[in-house]
Amino acid sequence: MDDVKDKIRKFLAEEILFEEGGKAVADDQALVGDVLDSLALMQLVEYIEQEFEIDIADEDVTPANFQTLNDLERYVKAQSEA
Amino acid sequence: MTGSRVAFLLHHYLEEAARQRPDHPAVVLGDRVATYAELNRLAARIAGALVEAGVERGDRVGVFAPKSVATIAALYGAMKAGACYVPIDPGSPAMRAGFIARDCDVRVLVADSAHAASLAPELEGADVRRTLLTDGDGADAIEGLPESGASLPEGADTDLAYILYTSGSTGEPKGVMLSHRNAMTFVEWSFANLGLERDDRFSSHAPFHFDLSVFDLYACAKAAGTLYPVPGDVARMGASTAEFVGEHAITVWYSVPSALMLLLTQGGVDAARLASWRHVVFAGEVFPTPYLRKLAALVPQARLHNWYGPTETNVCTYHVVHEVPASDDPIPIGRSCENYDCFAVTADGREAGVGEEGELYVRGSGVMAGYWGRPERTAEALVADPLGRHPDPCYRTGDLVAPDAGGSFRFLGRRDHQIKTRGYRVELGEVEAAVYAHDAIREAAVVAIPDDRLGHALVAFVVAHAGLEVSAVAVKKHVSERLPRYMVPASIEFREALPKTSTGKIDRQSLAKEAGADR
Repeated sequence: MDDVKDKIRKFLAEEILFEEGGKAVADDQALVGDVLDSLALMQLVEYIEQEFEIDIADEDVTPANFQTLNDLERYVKAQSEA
Repeated sequence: MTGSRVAFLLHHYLEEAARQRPDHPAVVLGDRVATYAELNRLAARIAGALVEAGVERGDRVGVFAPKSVATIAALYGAMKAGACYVPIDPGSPAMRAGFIARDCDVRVLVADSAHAASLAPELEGADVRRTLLTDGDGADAIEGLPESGASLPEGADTDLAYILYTSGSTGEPKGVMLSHRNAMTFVEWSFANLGLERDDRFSSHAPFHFDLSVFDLYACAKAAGTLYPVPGDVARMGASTAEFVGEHAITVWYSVPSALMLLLTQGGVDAARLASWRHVVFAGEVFPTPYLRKLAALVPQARLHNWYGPTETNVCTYHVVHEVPASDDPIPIGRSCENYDCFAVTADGREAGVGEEGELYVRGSGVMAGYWGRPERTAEALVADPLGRHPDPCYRTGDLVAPDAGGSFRFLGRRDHQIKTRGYRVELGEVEAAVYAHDAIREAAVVAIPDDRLGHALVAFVVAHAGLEVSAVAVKKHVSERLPRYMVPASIEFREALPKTSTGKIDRQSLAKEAGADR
């Protein structure tokens, strides 16, 4: 699961920021507001559910879980182990 | 002037509120609180600077900046100076913003440094006399403007108050011209219809280039209530939005349904945070009934309103949701607002009977003055009464509706290629034109697939020129440099060729079917 952040980073670059092969997003960069609008946030939720085969409960879509790539990695790993 | 007077122009609402309630908060944005007296003073400073810069009655003032006290003061300042304001989506790429500024011949630009810098290369050769910078909340910069001795022009209610650009089918956005009279027809109706009060606290969710903002700004000012712009990062997450409503005890909320759906589906919404809501109003797209049911159960104390109307008329029909229907059929768009005459005309030119499909026409003092610089498009949209009853023009909406026995309309669909995504109106032709503008693309068709949460999702089918390679990401990037984000297709499908109908046109129906089946 070491590549959680890199996979999400690539998704954000290509599908949200439209940058090919870009490493545009830093681990601790604020995603909501800066990178993600509400549509992009929904796309990201769907992507993570499919890519990492987890279910994201509506209640979990919070700033605490989605604020940075570091937060997302922690959340995805916790869900995968649950 | 002493005593109260009746507002005659849109900015008089602010002037009257500043007279009646000078120390009451007009706008609260984060830690920043601007009273009515301050907002009115800032607007007057801006108006003076505009006149000094050579702005004359009827000129256009472009506003290309995020929401702030200064931006709101600039909208009022432009009108005080006798000009009309042209709000440009601050999330819009510079190319499109530049087109809009040049198209309506903006005389002065109000922007923050970042937006002003991005737009500068697009404005070469344009007659922009001055750029007023509004960084941070801009108040210092505005207070620093020299007090102008210039007298402000007296306007008339038929003068333009603002121009709102919407997607155009020919590939270029078009400017909808709204006069003070047009805007005030709506503001006065909404104020009376909702029974707004001076202690109401209004959200400002929609951006200023979207006509939902006209309610937020001016109905609030007429009530002399307080406006709470919803910060962008708050609006993007349901949990944060609910927290915002609770923290500020918002009483009147107006947004597109998708914003309310975010609030219902994300972050485990807590009904206690929404207990202050008196009125929840939505417009811009269809609110899926299952979500509406959820909303009604969550906030039983609030009255729910479905408003309908294109930018060209602002809200022209309304429906109060007294009870969410048991079936999942969409709720009606409702009946004509006071001062509007909305009627449906069948394909063979009769007024549609109960349950019959017809195109919706709108007549009344809220109907736009026309499209800026596009007399032919104006003539197509503002037409003689097709039923031959009244001399003044009717706006032809392009929306297909059916009236019920009580005079309430149901929305059935469009008669052209215009769709809605997240409440924004999008002409598929404008998206296609942006895709086509890529050098490697020979042929393109953009179709819209119905989507429960977005309204529609866009899919582009493209054929590349022989020997040229292009990636989906590159096409999206190209489009995103020309169009706002909500117009960028969610997926790009490459084909060897596009299917054609028997008349040789691109077969969009079969493409839409194909794209829909893939989801």
